[in-house]
Amino acid sequence: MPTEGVDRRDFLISTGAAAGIVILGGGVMMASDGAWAMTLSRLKPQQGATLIRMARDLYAYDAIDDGPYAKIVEALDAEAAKDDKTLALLTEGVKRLDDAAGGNYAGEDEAKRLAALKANAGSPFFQKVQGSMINGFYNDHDVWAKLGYEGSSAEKGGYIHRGFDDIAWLPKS
Amino acid sequence: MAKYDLKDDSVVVVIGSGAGGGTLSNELCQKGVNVVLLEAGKRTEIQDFVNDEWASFLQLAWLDPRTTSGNWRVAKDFPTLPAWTCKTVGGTTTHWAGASLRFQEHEFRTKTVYGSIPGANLLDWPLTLAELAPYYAKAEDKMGVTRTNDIPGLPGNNNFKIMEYGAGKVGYKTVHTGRMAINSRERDGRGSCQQIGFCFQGCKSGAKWSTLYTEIPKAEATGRLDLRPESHVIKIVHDDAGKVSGVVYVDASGATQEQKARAICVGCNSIESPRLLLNSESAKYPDGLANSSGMVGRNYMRHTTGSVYSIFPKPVHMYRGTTMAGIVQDEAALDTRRGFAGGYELETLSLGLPFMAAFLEPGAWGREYAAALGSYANMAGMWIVGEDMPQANNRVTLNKGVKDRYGMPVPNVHYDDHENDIKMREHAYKRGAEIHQAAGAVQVFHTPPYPSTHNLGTNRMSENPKDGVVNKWGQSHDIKNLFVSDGSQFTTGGAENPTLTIVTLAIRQADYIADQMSKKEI
Repeated sequence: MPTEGVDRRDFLISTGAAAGIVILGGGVMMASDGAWAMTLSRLKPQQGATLIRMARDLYAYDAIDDGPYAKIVEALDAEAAKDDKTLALLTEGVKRLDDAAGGNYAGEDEAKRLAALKANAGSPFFQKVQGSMINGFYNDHDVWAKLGYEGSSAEKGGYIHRGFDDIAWLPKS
Repeated sequence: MAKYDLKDDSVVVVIGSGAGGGTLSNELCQKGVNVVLLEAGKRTEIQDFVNDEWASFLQLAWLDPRTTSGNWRVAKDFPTLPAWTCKTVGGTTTHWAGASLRFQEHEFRTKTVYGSIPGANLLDWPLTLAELAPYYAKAEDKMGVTRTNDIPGLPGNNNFKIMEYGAGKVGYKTVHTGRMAINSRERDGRGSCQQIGFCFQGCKSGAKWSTLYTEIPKAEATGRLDLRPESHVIKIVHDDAGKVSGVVYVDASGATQEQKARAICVGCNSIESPRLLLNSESAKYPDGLANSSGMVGRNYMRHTTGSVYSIFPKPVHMYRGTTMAGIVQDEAALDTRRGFAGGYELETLSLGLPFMAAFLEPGAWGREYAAALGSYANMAGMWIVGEDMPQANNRVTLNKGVKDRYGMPVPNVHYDDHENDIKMREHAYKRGAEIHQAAGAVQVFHTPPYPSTHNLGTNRMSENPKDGVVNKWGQSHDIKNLFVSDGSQFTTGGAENPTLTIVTLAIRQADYIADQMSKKEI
């Protein structure tokens, strides 16, 4: 069995979501409840787990599982696969973040993780992940649905008959 | 559609197809003038527009490299994106929200009325509201501005209802759904507003006025317009006598062309217009064209902007319906008891979730910021549009260390907030917050300025050629067949969204150019 002698932590990682992350072979990681899966080509699974945890700590929503966060990490990995500079930025950034948290960022409690994040805030690595979250996570239609944004409306005839002026809780002036 | 020869030196060349250039081109064509309209962007039509903020931004925005400097917050948050303007046929009229307010009488003579303000390079316009009034009326009719010409106002959306209720509670009187160049009923062959939202992403119903589907097709119908999209002008050239004689541009295939011209009108918005004049330096004009005053690129204004976004206990859905759905005008008048010169408008605004994440508090992260964005459905918003002070060192210069794909130096945009700007913004943040709090807001954000949408003043009008670049007709003081046709002509910025005044000046300029051509003056 390939799992023999290896720390179980490498196979089931908690990131704070209800479901943990299971690491399969070939760079594939998935939610323990099967809700999502991603494939990393250059980053190692543990690095991927640190990045998912970091992404969630930057913009945390308890009602959103790791799926949309994993999509951001998967996109970063894809970029790293095309560009060695990005790979180095992520690899070194993850190491600094893990080091700042005492070795394993994803395994620490929130206070320790936030301290580690603050120590790295503003660094090119931090800005890279933060920018990917702002531009990617909040542009994810699954996230829109969770946070109450309806997206495109023209094909539905706009809101003229769909509630543009439906506010009912304001008192009459 | 007309097709003129590159060597045809009888044509008027207009550069830029937005509010200034697009309108001017149509007005000239209607008068029988042959026009070559060069537009750097592609021709993207209504059916191509998308209700998706990032996708639309990539489709319409001007994304050529630019740099920034100065103490303004934009230089920190968006160092390579000083402005949010467009590179597409129709220019920034595809993106604008539609607010169409006339300047106030005193705003044409701020040096006289405001007096000496240290650090401010104030100047009276060389024209008055009375002179412009008949042209304002023509522009309002052309654009179908609500609350003019017996056109009813638009219905108010939820975001406006919050503003209206709160403004009433704090005692404001002039509160309504705006003077908007958005059809509240069918007009001029275009339908009425469907309350789609996404006004910034190109209006999918065509209810909002844009030169793309009004002025430009009307000009084409005359048979006198030769519109050339994807034609990026890199230099204006002149003859031995010093008159401008043609423009050098890179066409869609990447080939460099030179179009001859009888007169040239620059309408590239207030960053690219001075950049083009500066990049057109020659042995005869070593400081750039029309720049004997040294004012080309100076006095850059961008309005004292900022936004107030607030979270309410219950849903608002501010993004439903027109983006700029209403206005509070009580603070627009001059009242120096507030501690600053000039005034400001408060106008509802909304951003979709993707842009809200980027703009609400740039750089912010953590649970609190995430929670605010998580309350997106319960948010209302408004935008501050106030008069900022012209300052000589707020300017567009050539950054010779950075070249664009054509090898031309990119523009650097330098802006320092003036003390008056800061006082006005703080006042407006406070008053905007009071409006929302009166309507029940539980959390208020003072959102810093976005990349500039109102770019003004970098080729300003002046009576005296020493004080500015162009005269009251937008004609350059130095070269009589060279005109400026966009917001860079503005001597000062007023408190009003600038598009109506840009269109007004373009209609008036067309009369003047046609007259000067008939008299063989140009």
